[in-house]
Amino acid sequence: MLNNINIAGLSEYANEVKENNIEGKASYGVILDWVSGTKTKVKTKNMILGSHKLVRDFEFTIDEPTQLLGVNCAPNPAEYMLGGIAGCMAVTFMTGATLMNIEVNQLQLEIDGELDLRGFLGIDKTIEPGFPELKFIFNVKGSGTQEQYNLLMERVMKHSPNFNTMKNEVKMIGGLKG
Amino acid sequence: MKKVFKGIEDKRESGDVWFDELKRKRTDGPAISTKRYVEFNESTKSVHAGQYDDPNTNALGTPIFQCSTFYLNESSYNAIEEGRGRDEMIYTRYGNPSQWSVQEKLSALENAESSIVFSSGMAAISSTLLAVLDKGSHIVSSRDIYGGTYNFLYEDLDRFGMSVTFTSPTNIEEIEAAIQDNTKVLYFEALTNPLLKMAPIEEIVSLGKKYNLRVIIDNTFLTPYNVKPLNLGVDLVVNSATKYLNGHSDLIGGTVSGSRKLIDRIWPQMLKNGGSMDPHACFMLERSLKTFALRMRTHNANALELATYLEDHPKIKKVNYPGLASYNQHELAKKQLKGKNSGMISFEIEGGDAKAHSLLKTLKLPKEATSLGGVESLISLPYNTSQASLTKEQQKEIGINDGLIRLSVGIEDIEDLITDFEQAIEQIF
Repeated sequence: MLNNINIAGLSEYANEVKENNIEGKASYGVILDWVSGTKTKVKTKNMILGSHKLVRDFEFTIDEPTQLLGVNCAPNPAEYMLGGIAGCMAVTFMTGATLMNIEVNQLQLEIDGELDLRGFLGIDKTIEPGFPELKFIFNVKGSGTQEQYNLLMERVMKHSPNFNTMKNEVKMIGGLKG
Repeated sequence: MKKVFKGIEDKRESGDVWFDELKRKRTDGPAISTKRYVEFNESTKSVHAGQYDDPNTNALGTPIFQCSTFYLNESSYNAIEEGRGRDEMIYTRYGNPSQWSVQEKLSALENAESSIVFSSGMAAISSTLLAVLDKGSHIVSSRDIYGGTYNFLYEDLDRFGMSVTFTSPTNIEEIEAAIQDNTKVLYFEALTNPLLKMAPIEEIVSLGKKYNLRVIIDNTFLTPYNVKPLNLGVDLVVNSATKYLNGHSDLIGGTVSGSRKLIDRIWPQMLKNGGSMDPHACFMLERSLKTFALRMRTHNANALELATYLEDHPKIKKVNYPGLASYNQHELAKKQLKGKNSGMISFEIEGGDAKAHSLLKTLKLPKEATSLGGVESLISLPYNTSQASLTKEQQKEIGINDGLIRLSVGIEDIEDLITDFEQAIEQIF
């Protein structure tokens, strides 16, 4: 299989979703438990894809570096978020490359951003606590041309779910249970 | 539609294409120039469906494609590249015309989009479960389940980070209570061994829908002749083909049938686990299946008559058979089996296991052997065969009482079978 991606399976799934839209619905969730200090543990909730459950038996730890009051035992929340965006962009890039008949020998994706923690700390009310911008670079080695890779990057920005969650406004609906 | 990029090859090369334009859709099969005889009845399907008549020789009937590999060509290379190897002849573990032919006959009989044949029933069951379950999954199954399946669920699942809860196969409240957050599959046998408890398939399917689960039914004891679980909404049906499907006690095999989507997920698991069916065994199974409906009619009719005879006999304490009014799930049996019932009987004889052993030695026709579903009647005692791992006390707890006998009623003349039981019972008392 080109790039070890089953494009026939993707084609079958795309056509299944066309005929039965519910099969394209995928629900996701996580449960986070505070452990101690800045350390937390995240468990993935089961997904529902179409009308069937996918058991997601995974968990990971989050912490902050010691300089930011943690014990530095795991990546921090920003790193997980950037990793989640990069992972999603990589999936979209690789399936797209396979679709375009590009054999990829190496793909490395870097995302960088800079926070001004004065926003988090409340020192300057004019500063947004979130990332004002994120820079990403695809390092690709493969059979594609520069023109094809540019086209592919456009497609990634158009179709990657996590990229678009970050880029677009997402309605955040909060709740509290005492 | 076979090829992913058919008609959009140029767009693919230019890059002006996205996933919504891909052409390949799932189709039934895989198949090679064969028909399913969808509009016909069971015997006609048994005889004709899936048969491949070779156009080069005009030979009538599927040849035995006894080869391990196939010539590669552009079509096979494309299939490998696109990940649709199940639809091409590449290597016999992947697919072979002998397998496809018998698989199509099975799909016709099961009313399935797709089927896979395996080298044993346990190969079918283990590959199916490993393909469907996710890491950390849980299964709800029955404590009455076949010993081989029980051992796989009880001894091996935890090594894969999975778990199982065993419940009653008939009590839907108990089954529902066993469902956990990580439950993925409800796995039951349509009719259990040896007490012939019947799974309420439609109620189990409703539970599956309620909790977004997959339902898998082992239909070995009933076969698609007596009930078609897929018609009742089950996701996958597995069979030991060794039993009624082959029916001649001369082959080991297994099957799984269902939607093309799910069977396509089991196929790569079968490739990893091994357990594909050899072409010669495929030939034997396909040939045996030609008389499947014919055999099942006789198994069912003989079993009903023999069960009625045994129930009326003063030396027989109890008979378990879905076709008898005394069967404690008789109403469900009438609804689920529509009068077809089963070829299996179990019964308790006066005098306990000692008399049961004497009976087995005195009968002339039923052969004292394990397994079931053969043309010859087969008889055995559960206490020292299928349930031998349980203590006497544990056996009694699940209803394996002293003197319980399991009988797979063959297709001998029913008069001969009844005469044989008559003489044997008279002789031992």
